Amino acid sequence: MKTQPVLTQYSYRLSGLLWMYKQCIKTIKGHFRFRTNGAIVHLFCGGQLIYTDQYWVKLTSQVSISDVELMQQIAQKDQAALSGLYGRYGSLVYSLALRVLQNTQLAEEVTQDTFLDVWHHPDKWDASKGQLSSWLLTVTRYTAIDRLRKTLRRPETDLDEARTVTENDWIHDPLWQDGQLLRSLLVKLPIDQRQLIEMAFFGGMTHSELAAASNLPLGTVKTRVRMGLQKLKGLWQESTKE
Amino acid sequence: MEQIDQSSLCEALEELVPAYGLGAADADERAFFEANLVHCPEVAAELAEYAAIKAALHYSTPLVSPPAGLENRLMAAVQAAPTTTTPMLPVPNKWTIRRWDVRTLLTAAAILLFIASNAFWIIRSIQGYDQYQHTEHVSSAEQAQVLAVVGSGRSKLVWLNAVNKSVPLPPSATLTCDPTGKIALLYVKNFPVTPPGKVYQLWMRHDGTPINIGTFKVDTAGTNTLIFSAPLSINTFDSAGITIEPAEGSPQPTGEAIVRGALTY
Repeated sequence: MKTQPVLTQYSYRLSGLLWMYKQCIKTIKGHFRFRTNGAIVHLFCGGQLIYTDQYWVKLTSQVSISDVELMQQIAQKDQAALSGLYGRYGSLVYSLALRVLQNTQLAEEVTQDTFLDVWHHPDKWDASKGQLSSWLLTVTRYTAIDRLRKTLRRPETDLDEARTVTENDWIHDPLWQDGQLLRSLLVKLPIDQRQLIEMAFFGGMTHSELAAASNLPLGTVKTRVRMGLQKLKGLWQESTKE
Repeated sequence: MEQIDQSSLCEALEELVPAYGLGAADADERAFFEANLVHCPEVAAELAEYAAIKAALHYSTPLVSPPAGLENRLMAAVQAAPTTTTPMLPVPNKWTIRRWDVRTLLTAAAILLFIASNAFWIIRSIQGYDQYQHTEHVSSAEQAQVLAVVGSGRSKLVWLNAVNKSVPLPPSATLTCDPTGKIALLYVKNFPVTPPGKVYQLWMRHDGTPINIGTFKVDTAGTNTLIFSAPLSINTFDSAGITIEPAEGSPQPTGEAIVRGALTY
């Protein structure tokens, strides 16, 4: 691994970390992250290890640039901050857009629109109402469903062939863990219930729209959605109480 | 008769709450749900659970790397766009509220209307803490907060169960809250009407010490729904319980707990 000597001149205090962060996203335009392994810290930029030190004392997520700070920088039209935001949430946003649209081109357009919307209107996010990732995904889902309804293009992407990320920064995030737990529980539902639930959420369909799309009687759709969600809630409660 | 009608109504809402929570209810179903939810606080608590599932569904997709050139295209589009700085965060704005979740906000508005019209949300302080003293008068912001929490996906539901389970209809209570916040929704049911000169008092235990949260009464059906603001974040408390105390309340619990439970999420 190549070490950049200039970075080692800086302490691992907040100022040094922020400097390295800015160097990373401004000059390399890469995704900055750090990992600790006991007393050793590794700093990565754009996937490359740029700094390591065994005298690491304590580094918690609070010294990382927070979402609020990042959004404040975006409000000041700092393009590096938007790049940093994309590095942090780009995969998450794109993944949801792709799941809804099942079309890579449309998913790219929705991802770009979502981040452009953040760039132009960062004040739409209210930190007191929830985490940035939750808000971004809510906006992404609405945007993608709107696009799905307007477009005549049909799904064309084989999701199995999409480049699934095997290792990601989200693996320790409680929200991500909850989502992945839910994904594992969904497959325990009868297929006819699961499909309707997924069509409702990812396709933005109501009971009547589900009935029309699936050629099922409305009453059958309602029963399956209700029973599926009740079962999912039971599984969810069981799993989260363990 | 009224009880039977309300029971049937709540059963209908309970059937609808999963689809409503997911956003799959049709327009007429949504209208019915929102118009009648105010009569069934239990359903509101259940809605919070489905809202949590809906929130988690956003994170349930496999993570896929975006194409390498997408970031460049995004940054090119940014550079091509006119630049004007934006006011500092956070700035509440109508669009944010609308896009955040229209249905949740509608539901919150419906509950809020019910709360305002019935004044059942008031929980009275007896300790004279400043934050309690103004609870009765300026808690509309707190109401809005807790009702937003109900549908935010961050809320948790904690049950406080009857200490004496041998009675035919054991009393129970639920706390719906964002554990990292101080605002919570308390719903009690099957509570006996308190005798004259007595009230119920809610306690939350912090480091082994019971902290007074406030006093309340129940209606003739044994129910009530209240909003309260704890002095500390909810997740700093270990457990909660409700006792019967004199009308002016007590500095420490003196009666046997009616319900109690650990605050685990």
